[in-house]
Amino acid sequence: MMRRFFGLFKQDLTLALRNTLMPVLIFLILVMAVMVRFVLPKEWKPVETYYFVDRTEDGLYEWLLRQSGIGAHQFLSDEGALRSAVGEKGNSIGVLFAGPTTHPEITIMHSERVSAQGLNILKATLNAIVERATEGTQINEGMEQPSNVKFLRPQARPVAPNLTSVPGLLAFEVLVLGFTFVAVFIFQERSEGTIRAYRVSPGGTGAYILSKTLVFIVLGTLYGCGLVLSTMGLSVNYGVLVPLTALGVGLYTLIGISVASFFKDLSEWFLPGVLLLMLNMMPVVSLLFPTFSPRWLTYIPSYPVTFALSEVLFPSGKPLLPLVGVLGGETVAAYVICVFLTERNLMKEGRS
Amino acid sequence: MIEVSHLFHDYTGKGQYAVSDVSFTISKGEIFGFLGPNGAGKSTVQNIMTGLLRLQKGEVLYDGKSVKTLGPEFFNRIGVSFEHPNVYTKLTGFENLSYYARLFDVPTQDPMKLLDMVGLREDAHKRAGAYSKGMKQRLVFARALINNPSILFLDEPTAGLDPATASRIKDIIRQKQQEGCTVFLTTHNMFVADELCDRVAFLNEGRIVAMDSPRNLKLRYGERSIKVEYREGGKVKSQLLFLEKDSDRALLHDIIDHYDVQTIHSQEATLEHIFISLTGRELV
Ligand SMILES: Nc1ncnc2c1ncn2[C@@H]1O[C@H](COP(=O)(O)OP(=O)(O)OP(=O)(O)O)[C@@H](O)[C@H]1O
Ligand SMILES: [Mg+2]
Repeated sequence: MMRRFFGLFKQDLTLALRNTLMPVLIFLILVMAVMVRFVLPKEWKPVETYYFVDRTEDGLYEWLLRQSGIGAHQFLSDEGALRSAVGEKGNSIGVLFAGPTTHPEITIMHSERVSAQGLNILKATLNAIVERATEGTQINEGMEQPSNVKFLRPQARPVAPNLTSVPGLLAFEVLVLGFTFVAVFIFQERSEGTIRAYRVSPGGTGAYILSKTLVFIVLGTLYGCGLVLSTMGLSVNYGVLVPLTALGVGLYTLIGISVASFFKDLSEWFLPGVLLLMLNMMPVVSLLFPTFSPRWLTYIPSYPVTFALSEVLFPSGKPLLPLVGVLGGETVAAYVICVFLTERNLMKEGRS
Repeated sequence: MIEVSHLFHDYTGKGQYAVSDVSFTISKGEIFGFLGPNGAGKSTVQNIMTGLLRLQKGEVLYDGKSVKTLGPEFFNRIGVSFEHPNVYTKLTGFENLSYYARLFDVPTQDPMKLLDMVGLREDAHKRAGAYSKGMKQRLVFARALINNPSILFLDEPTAGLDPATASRIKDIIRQKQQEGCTVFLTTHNMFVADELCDRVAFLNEGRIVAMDSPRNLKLRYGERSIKVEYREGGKVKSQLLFLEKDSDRALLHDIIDHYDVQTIHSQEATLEHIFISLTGRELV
């Protein structure tokens, strides 16, 4: 039993490594690593321009700021002008003072992600200005930031910009490896007819599926960890990353086999396959542009994969366990479906 | 013992049967040949028997057990060689055999020994993708023997092989029979069937039109006779003699002993002639 499984595993691994897709995948991973390390910026761009609008009754803040040497062109007349100025200029920050002078409501707007460090300095500065204006009356009473400072954007996470692409690339890699490579693999076996030889041997459907799944889990995890290691080094919790990547690749290999079982060859698979792949890439899009997050997205199996990977790489304190639980449940379901479909479409077909 | 009864198969789902009402039995240790032209349904029957094709109608029993209920223990006992050589082109010949061997729960043959047997020792470590069609075919044949099967299904094992290689394969098949193996052999080559098979079934358009030992078929359908020309009193006389008849045999002896025999023509029919006379079509 074990001898059979490992024989099969070794064969599938050999076949995968000799597959023409292999150099392509290695090239892809190198491109990703090089891009992250050398092409994408490592630091957020420093803020170049600050714009101010003072809508408080007596315009005290504008006066104070002018006193501290801020140029006249940095003061705008109203909120609309401020918004468009910030919107036009890539790396700028707009500050709006409104309400009573003693308890001003301060709004900070910024168009690009600005480093948390930069924002903290700004907050501290604003805090000091308000303190000065109200002659020592502390508004924020020991709090770290003034309670009435509002951010129009969520506070940026302190992540170097080149690294923010890593979870997306990792999820992409999991999808491509599991979903696409296994399809190529199945069609190779179909066109060579070797699957028929397997069908008249005692190796069953379960071993057939599991051996392929294990091959892609090994390859996908190696690839994934290689990518993370080469870009983020050892700062990541590999104890969680490795099993999570393995689970993700496993899930997508099972889905990949299930989908491939419906098609005769790669060209038949191509259009629906690529469309499905793109659909499954949507959560990655959502990760990069958080404003895009329709509800249906959460039902796509790659959603928990993508967000769990992101959470492992950049912990934000969100609980990981529910995501992993969903993922585990989906993997078990995918296995059951995969066995059924493989049995029906690959192992007992009428035609060949 | 293998019992196939009233087998039908319809690929189209429209009532066009590729195989109709095919029944036969094969006893243990027998080489049973399935003969017929292209498209007769030979491979279809073999594929149903090995479980590759779903059994639609009829029954296939192995020692009384239906093919539908057979599991791993059955696949451990059979060897199948395919019509279209199906090997992993990215693996070497040796790897193809050794990986396949590990799928079995029963003792398997040494891959190198098998490769040697079919004349592939030299090419054992070449990728099968670089093999010629005949080499791939021999590799598939060798693979069928890897688990010391007690039932062998051979679909056109000698097609496309040169005569020397074909005869090597035939020798191996005979040797397997001597070891107690039952062989189901599909071919459209008369001579292979005649040489190897204990019994053959003629298949035409999905139906069995005749089934017996090659010898009996020839006896029944072919005019196996001898035409003797001899001189008697200055005249050349001709006599047609049926050797199965005792009286004719005695007569032949008499002629040889007492007359000047000029020619003896064997009128022995080939399976091919019989097939043509039964179906009105040629085998190839
Ligand atoms: N997968 C299939 N789908 C539809 N029809 C098929 C399929 N395979 C075979 N047939 C049809 O079934 C009939 C029998 O085919 P089969 O392959 O069994 O013939 P065969 O006797 O093995 O021929 P050959 O000598 O060419 O190997 C043919 O008419 C063929 O067209
Ligand atoms: Mg055939």
